[in-house]
Amino acid sequence: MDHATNEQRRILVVDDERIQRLIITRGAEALGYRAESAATLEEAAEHLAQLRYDVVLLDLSLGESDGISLLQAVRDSISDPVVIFISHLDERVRTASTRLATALGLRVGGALQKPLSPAALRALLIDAPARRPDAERPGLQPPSAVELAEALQWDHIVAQFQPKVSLADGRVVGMEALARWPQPTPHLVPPDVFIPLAEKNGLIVPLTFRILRQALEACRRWRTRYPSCSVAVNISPLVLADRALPEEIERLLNEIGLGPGALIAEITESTVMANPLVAAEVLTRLRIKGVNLSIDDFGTGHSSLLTLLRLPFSELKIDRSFTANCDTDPEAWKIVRATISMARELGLTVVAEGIETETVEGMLRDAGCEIGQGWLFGRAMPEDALHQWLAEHLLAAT
Amino acid sequence: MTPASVPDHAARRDDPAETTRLATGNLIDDAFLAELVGAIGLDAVREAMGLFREEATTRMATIHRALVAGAVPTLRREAHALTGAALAVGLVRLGEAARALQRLTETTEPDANAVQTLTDLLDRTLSEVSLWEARQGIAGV
Repeated sequence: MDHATNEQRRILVVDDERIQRLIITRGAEALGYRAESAATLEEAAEHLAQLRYDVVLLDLSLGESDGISLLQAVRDSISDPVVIFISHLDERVRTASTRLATALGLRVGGALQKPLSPAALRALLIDAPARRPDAERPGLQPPSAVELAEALQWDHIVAQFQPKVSLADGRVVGMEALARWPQPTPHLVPPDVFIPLAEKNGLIVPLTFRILRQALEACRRWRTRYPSCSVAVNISPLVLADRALPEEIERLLNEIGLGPGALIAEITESTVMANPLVAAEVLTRLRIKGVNLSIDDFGTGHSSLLTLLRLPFSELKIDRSFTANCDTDPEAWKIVRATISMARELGLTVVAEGIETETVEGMLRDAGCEIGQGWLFGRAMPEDALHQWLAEHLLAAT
Repeated sequence: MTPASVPDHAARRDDPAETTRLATGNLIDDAFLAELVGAIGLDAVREAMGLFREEATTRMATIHRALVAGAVPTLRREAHALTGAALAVGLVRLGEAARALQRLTETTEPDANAVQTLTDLLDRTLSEVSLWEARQGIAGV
């Protein structure tokens, strides 16, 4: 990571105890930080909206409120700060908060117990990385709906592919197609920026069909060599609201010359909840037509046991927030094992996302997880890069 | 996640021998304050002590009013806040006594004696703080 080392780092101290706030602020200033402080969530949110911070030091107990409520605002701020928790509560609270922040995509720099040890505070602040300088660059301002519409029109939104690997023998069994918006600069506009933008501006249906078409056409090319491979595509709620979707997908499959088994539709519970009845009808009809359904991000609160009961899924994807650290987090590991066991009882194929180490891969394999996905095997990549990658792997029958 | 190291006066909180020491031992954790001065500077510690004087006096007055009014939740909240304020600047015996009062409010309504004991301890602690400041070459208040 390229740290912004040449400029003064900035910290936001969020604590309702003013003596503690003063001590932390002065301690940070002694280390060269520019420090701002806030006693309430509202003040903190205002600071986050106005300034970019390298570190947000957050008291988990803020009088009548709690610091957790601020995490969303921290995530939505474009400064990508490191979060450090402080609390007078026990270690389990700090651990749970750390997990939550990690699941939200935040970087957690550590957790301190109150009363604060000055040495521990100093150590964490010295080690805290600076914010990613990308956020400072004007090119990374959020795109407009018009820019997104033009990008779709000019085919600038493209599918990239992340391999799914059989954990039993290391063979590649398929790909997940992920929408990407490459820019002329080295910086991507991340999907968690442009997908919601598309959803808000009536562009998600053309975007989804663009990705579906690219993914299926790529899959057809792979199938000349690997006849059983499949491709997974994320389906947004607004797309599921269209009762004609099963026929449209069937028409697309026919046009491209693929059977329905080539496609896995990945759904989260939030997708289904947007219009439960229509979504259930559309998904059930897709399944009857032979398209596989995958419940994505399982365990994050977006997908639940009720969703599993309601819809005819064929695959369950365990979210990366459980798998990424399951070798060091015993409670995450218990949840992963229980999920694998339950999914197998239900006859679902189990896919673990977010595998980054061989240790985690081995643990998941031994626990009965069939398929893995993550940086250990390969990141999402353009199709031409994937061909090179595939040349090194044997594609398996699914 | 394992938390970073905590001050001794927090780590030893549940040790019975430590509880006894706190009841009769130093009002100020000198080692902690020395560490704090090293981390944030003497001027900032003096500033923090100034805030503590102001805040503790106000909170103690509120505790007395809450006692008279039978407002136990207010009393508990103020005792909790006083605990945090005292421990943040190494005033260990006062911090533990305020915590004990806070815990008392969770099971029973505290009596005037419990509050008066805390008030006396605050007075002695503030005198000790003045002495500490004098030792650092700062004019006490």
